[in-house]
Amino acid sequence: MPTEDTFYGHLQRRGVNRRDFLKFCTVMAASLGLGAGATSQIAEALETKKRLPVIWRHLQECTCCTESFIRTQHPIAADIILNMISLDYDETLMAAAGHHAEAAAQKVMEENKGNYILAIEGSIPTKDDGIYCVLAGRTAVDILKEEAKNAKAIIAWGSCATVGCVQSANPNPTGAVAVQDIIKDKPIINVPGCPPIAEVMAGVITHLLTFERLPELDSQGRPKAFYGHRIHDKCNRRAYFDAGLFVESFDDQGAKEGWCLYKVGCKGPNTYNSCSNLEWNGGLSYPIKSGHPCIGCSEKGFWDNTGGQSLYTHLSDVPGLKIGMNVDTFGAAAVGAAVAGAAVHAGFSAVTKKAHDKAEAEKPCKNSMGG
Amino acid sequence: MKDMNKLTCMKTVYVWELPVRVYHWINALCIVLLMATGLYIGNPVLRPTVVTGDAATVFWMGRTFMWHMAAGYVFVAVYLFRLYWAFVGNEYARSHHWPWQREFWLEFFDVLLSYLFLRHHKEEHLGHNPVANLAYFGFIMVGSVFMAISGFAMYGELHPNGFFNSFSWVFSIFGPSFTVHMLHRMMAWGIVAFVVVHLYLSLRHDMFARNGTLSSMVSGYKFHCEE
Repeated sequence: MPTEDTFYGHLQRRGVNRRDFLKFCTVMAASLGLGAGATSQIAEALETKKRLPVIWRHLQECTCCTESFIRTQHPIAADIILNMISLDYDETLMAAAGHHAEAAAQKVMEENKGNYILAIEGSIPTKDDGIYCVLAGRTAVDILKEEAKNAKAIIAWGSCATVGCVQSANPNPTGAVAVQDIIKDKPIINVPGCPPIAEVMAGVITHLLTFERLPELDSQGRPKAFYGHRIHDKCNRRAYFDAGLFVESFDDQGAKEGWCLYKVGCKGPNTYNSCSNLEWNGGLSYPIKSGHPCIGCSEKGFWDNTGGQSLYTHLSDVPGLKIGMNVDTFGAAAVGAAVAGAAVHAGFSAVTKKAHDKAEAEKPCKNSMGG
Repeated sequence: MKDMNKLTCMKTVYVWELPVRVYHWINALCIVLLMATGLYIGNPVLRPTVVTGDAATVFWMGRTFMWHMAAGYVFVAVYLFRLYWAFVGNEYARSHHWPWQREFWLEFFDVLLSYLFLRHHKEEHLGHNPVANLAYFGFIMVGSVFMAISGFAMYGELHPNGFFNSFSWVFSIFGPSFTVHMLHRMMAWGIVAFVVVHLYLSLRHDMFARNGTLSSMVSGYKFHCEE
């Protein structure tokens, strides 16, 4: 019999029936790419394991990750997930405030030393002693360092916590950095996106809980199950890309026909995320499907990659120029300069050669070679 | 210009062996193909729909991509072959001094000053002169390697579980996918600029030194002409 402490026990008390519970387990197994056998493994884990203590910190961020998270696809998933983890501290979702809230965080850290998960939403400003993000009189850097010390693992939610997101865009006035720039000695799961997809967030937590270890991560610390493919490779408009049929502007016939958005700045070919297979809002749609190019929000530096110019350009700007010159303009200018240089050099060569030949002709002996 | 009729040509030297020449022209063809297809992949200006009007019957980008890949494989293959030939070929098939050696720079400035009309240097180099050597080292030896590894890394993005995903370290060094695409394209333009200067200077050497620089890339022979 499940005890009070397990997820399933908790769910039963909240009136979730067995059928819905198993449905959720199946959805999670599928979206994690674990295969059919994993459903029972997940179900068993949720039935028997103690709930995961989690401290969920909101640092320099906009809370879009939490907003995304509480809107998971499955009808009761929000309920399940929020109860799956024993969410002991979360500014957005908890009822406690002020001293009570901070006391709750302290209690979790003391009672679950080395066992709790620290979930970070938002980047960490480091400039001017970190004063740009202060909670309960303490800076974000302090809080992160203290709470990370005894954490089992850290989940970095969203692009802010994984790469610094728009706060760290040039010129980065607050010196915002990612969690992985500060914490080096703890396992960190990077879940980028602005925000990440709700099912991705749910999947990461389910995996942690079921297998009690981190999901398989890529070289940038992202779960391979969700960040292993480019949006481009599962895109519903991919056939138009391969055919070479491109939207030239947002009001042309191509846009109406649903052609590829590559030329109006789609970053799908450079972006690793699950938008094109899991989609958003319960599998309803995602930006490209609804006619807007992907801006690559889960990629490092997406705000700066186009040189601070429009996100609707598909060619990258040459960094360091700061005048918004794209790489083709730059390249053509370089080749033009080479051609002009060669022409000028040829002119000079002809002149000096003539002078040299004249001088040679006046000398009795000549054995010189040009060039 | 010297009077052609008064020239006597002697001391014919076999400079470029057949494998070097074959490499050169295959490589040149690859560069043209890669640049043409690469320009389209990054900035697809053609509108096949004007011709056919149907997505089901055209595969322009897909085919361009395929040619780019095919030319890329050949580009890498001939590069590796050329690297091998540097060890087994004749003395003109390899560099004798490298940019990290003092001798290289002594000769380099000698040739550079002559290119800048500041010095009239006496001996025409039969193989590569040091300025050419530096350009080949930067644009062909190192540049090709950069193009190949960044290209394979981007190719690996298509097949995350395939062999070329072992190039994913490229993204850790040079930045995210978008940046790697940009650098790949920038280097490509650099190679085009190199080709422009290369064509100009080989033409110039051919005209001024009269040693058969241009024809040597077909026949293999350079010669010494005097009046």
